[in-house]
Amino acid sequence: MTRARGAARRQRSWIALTLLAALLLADAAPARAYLKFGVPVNGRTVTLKWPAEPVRYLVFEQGVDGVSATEFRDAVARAFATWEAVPSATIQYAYDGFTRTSRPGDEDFVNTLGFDDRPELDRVLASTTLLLDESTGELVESDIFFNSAFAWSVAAGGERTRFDLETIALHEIGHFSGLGHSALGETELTGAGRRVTATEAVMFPIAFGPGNISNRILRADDIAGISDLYPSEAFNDDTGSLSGRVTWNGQGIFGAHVTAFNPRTGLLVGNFTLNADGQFSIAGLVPGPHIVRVEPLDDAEVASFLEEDAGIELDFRATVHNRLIVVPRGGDSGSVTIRVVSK
Amino acid sequence: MRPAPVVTVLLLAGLAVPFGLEAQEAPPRLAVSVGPDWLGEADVGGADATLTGAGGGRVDLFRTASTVTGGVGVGAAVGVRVAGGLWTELTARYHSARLATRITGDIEAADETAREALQQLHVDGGLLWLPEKLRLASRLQLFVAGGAGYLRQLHGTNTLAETGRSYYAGSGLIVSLPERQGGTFKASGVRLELRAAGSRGGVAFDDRLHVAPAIWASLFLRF
Repeated sequence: MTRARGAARRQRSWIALTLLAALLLADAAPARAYLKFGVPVNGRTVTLKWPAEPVRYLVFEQGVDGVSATEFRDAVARAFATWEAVPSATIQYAYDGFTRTSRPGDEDFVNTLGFDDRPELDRVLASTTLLLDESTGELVESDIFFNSAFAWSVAAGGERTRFDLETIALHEIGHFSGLGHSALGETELTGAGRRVTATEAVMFPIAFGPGNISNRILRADDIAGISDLYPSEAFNDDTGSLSGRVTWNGQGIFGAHVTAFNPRTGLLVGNFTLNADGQFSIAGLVPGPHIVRVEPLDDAEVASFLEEDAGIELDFRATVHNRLIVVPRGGDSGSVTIRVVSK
Repeated sequence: MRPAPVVTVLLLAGLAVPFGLEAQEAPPRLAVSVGPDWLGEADVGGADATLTGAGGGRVDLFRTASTVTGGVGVGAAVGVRVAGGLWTELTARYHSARLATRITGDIEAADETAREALQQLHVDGGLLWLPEKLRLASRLQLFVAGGAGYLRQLHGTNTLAETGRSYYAGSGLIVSLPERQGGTFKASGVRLELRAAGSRGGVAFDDRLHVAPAIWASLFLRF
């Protein structure tokens, strides 16, 4: 369940996870899901999240060409406010001012956002680092750096040749809050790699190109994810979940993308099968019948989503389940078994 | 004091007419009908699965089209004569129905139809009109009917019930059997009704009115 791109480092009782988000021209899967992080604590898996709110943060006082430190602060504040505005989630953040001493990436138990010049990361727009308490699985620090090797903009309507800071901040703050990558998107191969053609999640790992501001808005998959992590009472009462197994020749499979689509609302929310039994659970669904679709990560860099060496099954055919699955209000669908076949 | 006897006489005369008719040949005032009800297929709308495209437009993942088919169920009605050939009716119809969603156009997966069982109940109040000018023969009578009411649909897992509004309009033929003298009921026969059965809400995936054809064949007794 834990996903880390790059090495996970152990330091006394802390584990640092580096999440590289918004990869440019990187592989990605045409799949759909939100993903929480899970960390092993005393033999059980604990969901990674902040233990208390509001989550406080500082802004490193440094601007770049086209974006002053104040404009940076305001843009990330808008992105934080977007996550806070999710009515079914309780997460809150608090701005504590500028800093010139705590830099993004410093393991100092201070949450810092700011620019950093990393020209060697020529496909990384921004990155989030999480530091967690190994004994409890609780987050203790999170930093976000924005790569000043790229051109940035905070213009209300975007700028054609610059990446929109608020859009990328919205994605990174999802990681900052404990969310992993969603696979809810489509890509196409180009000469230089993959290009995203469509997404329905801010947490999709590949950003749209410069000038695009369409992902300043959270989608159903993002909202379900943050609400699953920090649920309000209304979330638990008003929504339901869909759970079950994906099997192939009678055996559960790991790493399959499972998507729930509600034909009434038009909303897509998903998750992955996250153990060898092929079990999955998708929370935050509007009650009613859902179409369930399963597909493999067969043309993607799976490490964007899950542990690469975890035995992810790729050779089965994308399948739409032949039953509509009813999600009840405040409850679960009951276990659904979806059988897939070889390609 | 003189006007009083005159008034009394007139009132008695007025009452004597209906009393006298009732004693001779009172028309039925209550009717009960029961029989199988077939409810056809109705489109119930539904959204397509789409993503936000790089250019800001929507990009299809797959398309959906959904229907509810009632199949053969049972219908029952209780009617009360209002006046002449006009009756009010309370009707209940139950169907073990099926919700089906056709999924097409998926880039990777084959087309599929996802289904689910429903228990469906319509409870309607309406009017039944049997005008004399539509009497075809002594025992054949055309009628028109219409009404509105309540729709309840219970998903097959019994975990979620959805409600909506129900409407119907139709016409049909009543075939009366020979009348009985001195029995517990005054008339009996067969009622065949073709109607347009509308619904709004319930399991439908949009807020539009959805209409399905329906046929009801029932036996009736009039009291």
